[in-house]
Amino acid sequence: MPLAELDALLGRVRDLSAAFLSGDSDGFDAFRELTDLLLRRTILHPSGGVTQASGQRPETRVLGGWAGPLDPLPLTDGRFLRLSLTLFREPTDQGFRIKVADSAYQYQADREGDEWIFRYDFLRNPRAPHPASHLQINGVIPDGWLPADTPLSRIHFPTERISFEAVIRLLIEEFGVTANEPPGLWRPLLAESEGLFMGIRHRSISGPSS
Amino acid sequence: MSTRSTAPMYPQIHTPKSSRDLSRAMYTWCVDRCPILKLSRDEILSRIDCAAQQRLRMSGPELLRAYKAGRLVDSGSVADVIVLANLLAEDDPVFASR
Repeated sequence: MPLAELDALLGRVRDLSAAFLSGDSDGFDAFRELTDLLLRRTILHPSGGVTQASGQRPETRVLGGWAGPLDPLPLTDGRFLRLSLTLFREPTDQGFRIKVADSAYQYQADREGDEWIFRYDFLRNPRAPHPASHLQINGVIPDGWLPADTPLSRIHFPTERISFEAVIRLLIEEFGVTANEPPGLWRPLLAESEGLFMGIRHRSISGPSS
Repeated sequence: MSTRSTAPMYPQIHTPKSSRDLSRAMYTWCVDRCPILKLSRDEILSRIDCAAQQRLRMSGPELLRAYKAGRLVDSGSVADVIVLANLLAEDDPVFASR
């Protein structure tokens, strides 16, 4: 990996992050492009891509696969990543900001999602008494270890808000999903982007406050 | 900002030399021509209803009302549907309780 190419990529990540953080309406595009860039350089199958959709709610966009948030992204291992993000833009004391309302990352073996493996969800305003940020694992543990009629897949493990970059790392490092680029490129790329995310993320407590 | 309809349109790419060429071509096509998928209310509701029927054997409005009331046992299985519903107006009648 030529150093100049890596520098250019890192610069692009910083530019896109800055555009997103500026709170301008162009920030929606920047967020989409950044998400697409990170995936394309790591685990995304060449036939996939991230698109943004708009609807009836002003200052709101959602991200998903080519056909929208219900369309999972194909990965290099033949499996899929269901990427669903809601972005909204609102005024604050420091001017407009673009924030993530909900994010859901589900690793799944089939396109439909019947054979899901794990998922991280973040809901800024959860409706159910689950942690706003949680992990679910579609696994099995011995009988009697959980309440009756409660499979492991229904357990919502509370987490800190997990970055998108952490999910990509998990898939490459632990699940063996092949990266499209050598570690010398994708590691610093994810580190740069994740570092910027860590500074701005909204933190949630592990359950309802009342 | 340009928009595109929801009719499936895919780039006409002929004889890509490699998967990376194809990827780059699709990326360029998307950024240049379809930065935003503009969905009408009917299109959003249709997609939600289809997914709700397939996954939970309930209608889209039933799913949305159950979610809003905190009655979905496992909302994670339809997190993408909930995200899609965020494109509806906040006062959309579909969210009204019955």
